[in-house]
Amino acid sequence: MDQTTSHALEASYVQTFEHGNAGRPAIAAGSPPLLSIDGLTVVLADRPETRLLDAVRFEVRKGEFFALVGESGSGKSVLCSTIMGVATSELRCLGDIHIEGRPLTDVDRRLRAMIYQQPSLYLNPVRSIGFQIRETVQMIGGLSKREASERAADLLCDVGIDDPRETMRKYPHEMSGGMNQRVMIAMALAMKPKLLIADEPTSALDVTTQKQILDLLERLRSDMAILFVTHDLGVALQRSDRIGVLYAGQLVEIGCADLVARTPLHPYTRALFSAVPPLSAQPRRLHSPAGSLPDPTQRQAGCNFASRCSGTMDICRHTRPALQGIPQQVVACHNLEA
Amino acid sequence: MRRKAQKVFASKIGRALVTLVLMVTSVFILMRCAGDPVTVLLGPDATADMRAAYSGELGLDRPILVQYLAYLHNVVRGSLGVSYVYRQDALGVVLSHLPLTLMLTCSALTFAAVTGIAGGIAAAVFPSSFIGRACTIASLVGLCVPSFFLAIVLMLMFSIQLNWLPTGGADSWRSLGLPAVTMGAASSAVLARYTRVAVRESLDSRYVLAAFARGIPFSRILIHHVLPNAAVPILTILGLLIGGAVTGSTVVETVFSWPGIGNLFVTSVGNRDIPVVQAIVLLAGTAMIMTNLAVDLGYTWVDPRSNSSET
Amino acid sequence: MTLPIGPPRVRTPRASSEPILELRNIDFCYPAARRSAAEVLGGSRLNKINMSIRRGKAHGLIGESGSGKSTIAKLLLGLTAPQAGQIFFDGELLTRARLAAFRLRVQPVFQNPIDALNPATPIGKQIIAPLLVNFKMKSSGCQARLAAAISAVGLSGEILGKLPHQISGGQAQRVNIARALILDPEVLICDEPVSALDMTVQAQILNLLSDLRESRGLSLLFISHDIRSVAYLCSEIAVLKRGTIVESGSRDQVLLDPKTDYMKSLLRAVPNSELGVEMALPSKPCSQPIGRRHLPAER
Repeated sequence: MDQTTSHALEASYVQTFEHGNAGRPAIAAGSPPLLSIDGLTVVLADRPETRLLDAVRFEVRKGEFFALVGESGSGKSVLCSTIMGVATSELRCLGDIHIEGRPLTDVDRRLRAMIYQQPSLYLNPVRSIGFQIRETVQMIGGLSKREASERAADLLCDVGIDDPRETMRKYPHEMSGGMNQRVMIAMALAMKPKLLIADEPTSALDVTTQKQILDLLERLRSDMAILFVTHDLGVALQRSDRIGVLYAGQLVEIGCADLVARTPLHPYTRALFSAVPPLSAQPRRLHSPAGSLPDPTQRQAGCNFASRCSGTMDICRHTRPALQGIPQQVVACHNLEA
Repeated sequence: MRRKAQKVFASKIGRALVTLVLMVTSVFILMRCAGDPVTVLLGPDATADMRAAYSGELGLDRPILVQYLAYLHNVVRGSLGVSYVYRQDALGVVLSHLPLTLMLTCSALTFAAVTGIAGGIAAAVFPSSFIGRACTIASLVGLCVPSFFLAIVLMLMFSIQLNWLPTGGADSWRSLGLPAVTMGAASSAVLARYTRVAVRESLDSRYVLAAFARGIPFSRILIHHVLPNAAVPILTILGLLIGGAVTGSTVVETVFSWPGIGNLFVTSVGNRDIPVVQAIVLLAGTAMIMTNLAVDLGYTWVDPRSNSSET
Repeated sequence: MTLPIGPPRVRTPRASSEPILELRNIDFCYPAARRSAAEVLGGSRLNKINMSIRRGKAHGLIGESGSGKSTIAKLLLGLTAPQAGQIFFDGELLTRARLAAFRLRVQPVFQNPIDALNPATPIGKQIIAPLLVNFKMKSSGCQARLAAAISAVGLSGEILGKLPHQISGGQAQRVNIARALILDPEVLICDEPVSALDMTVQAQILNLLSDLRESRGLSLLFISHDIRSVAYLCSEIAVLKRGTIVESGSRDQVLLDPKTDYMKSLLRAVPNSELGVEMALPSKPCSQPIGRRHLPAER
């Protein structure tokens, strides 16, 4: 991305949040970003030509709810594990990730926390909930067992569990998916993180439970930045301040949620929109681009969506388009360049 | 949930008792198949009076069901016949040999548990390091080498060449060394392999990943997250090994002239001392069932999920 | 029962308001030991269920986890029997004697597409398996039907030799649908068939189900917790809460004029309900450079 566009992005924060999205807390304009990712490329260590992520760049500020929309194979899970610092040894990461201005390796693990898609699988099945939360709380150090239990009960109350003591005695398999997800959020909050990464936390839950969990996350976001990864466009547009669309390892569109909702620009983003079944009495045929996501081993230079896009030109196949556009919405598509 | 756990508990104990009764009944049937029980149990040179008295006790002219009940009564009382060779109560003979065998098998099991589980964990946590590879190879050797071969090799090295340990008998603590290691070697290898697989599976699980991402130190993850989840298969194998502890190993006891139950079994079969053989079989069966019950109950303590299902 | 020879016929609509599959006054309860945690929390029984699926129509069943919707699927597939009540198929009471024939005419599509396939057997063999098992046909005799089933679901022949781990979730679900279609059933019971799939793939499968319903006169029961998919595909909707049907009716009635608070709360919980309704989509996506005028005006 060139100099002018990055300045424009910078300016966009000022413009967007001074206007303020209705009801959403104003985010400190002009402050340095909490999470800053630049030129992040993740490849397989033994086959460097397979790129799971390709020069990804975006920023998230404190108090912001940033939704990253992508389907399976887009690289969103790899992105989450890389930011958390738990990428497997089979991957090699190039590029910069900075949290609060410091590179990832210098950052205390406690500044970032993550919640996952199927919470029951991410909780130890043979230890009680109370044991697991206490263990996380005691990582801060200097707490007696009783104090840790108190703090654990407080955290459970914060996430909306009515009877914390009773819940702390239970085991993960004795509770529903929604409850387990609340427990995971409580554990994530225990360290008072600045960045919360949510990897499809509500995809496995019912719609009413999903709403409760999302409401909970909105309540908690004032102290943190939330990076919310999902494949559900509806959730992303409703709850987020800004949206990024990830396709086959490339970020193809970033913008304010309102704007993207009204005018999606990238052909893939438009395809996502037309694939959502409308909740109305007018049936309209759902559109879906033919073909499927290219395998990481078969991705070539140029735009990864070229094989499925109906507006493909020659340039699309060999030159990757840069993210360009107005401050509040940038898109990477040769078709939309001036 | 607590009541459910109690019900599961009670059903396991119930099942163990049923298995016990079935085992005892099988021995009854087998004994009847082997010929006239009185001749079998009292020996060919019993006097007519003894025969008559024992017949009366067993109730051989009475219906088979009554005989069966008398037999059960005898088993519970411990009156399993008179040994031909020792001229004493058969069960008494067997029990007198028990302490030595238990000494041997407990030492062997301790050795096996410590080396096997530690080796398995090392192989799982550090698979490509020297220690890890060494443990994997050692467990393979332990599985493949037959115990009599290992016994003789060890005897050759430590008793005959180096003269550190005696070759046989049960005179002192030092004579425990070689038999215990020989017996423990195979069990250690089996334990090591199962432990390695179980610990590997647990290390690859998502809850361990989540704990690691939260910054919990690896030592704590190993003790509280990995090992408890790996415990179920390890417990199963341990149960089978402990169950075999009562009879000991006939091969090892014979090679090292260790006067335990295994040795007794071999000599009694050779002498056709049926009461003693029967006593050993019943004792071994009971021990195996009881240890498996203990392992079964141990599952409920280690894995709370088993309280909710009836497996 | 003999199969019709040749490609499946388009069914002549027989008084299509007649129900083909009906549940009347069904009561059901799992034995205590087999209940999952969700069922324990949400109730584990079905009470007085009355439901009917009409010929050639898609019927939707909305319910949350633990509501009993998968239990209804099992009942309708003949995999379990109710404690009380009757199941009617094609106007006749379903008895034990008729169960085998019934199961051939009602086929399932389940939630996890790859898990529904045998990991060690090639796809082609798995699709014709119902024919081999039920009619003792030889695999050479099944090739015509296999080709028809594959093309009906939009797959090409090269998938036949592959193993399940080599294909995507969307392709796997198409394979499952092909396998369900190969017996030429009259009803498809779909239990959360698109929940495990990405949005664009969901759209493809929903379109496929809709096309199959129209071209083959299939009746569909579409069970899901996702109201959008149900609203798109189905003309009739029933709402299940803790084992009881609390609301049912045509799609318009249930979506636009819900009577119960439960349905109202479900509708409110759907994120971004206006999404997808009015999209000013060009009928053909951009075929030429659009130029600056399509970017939103600077503020």
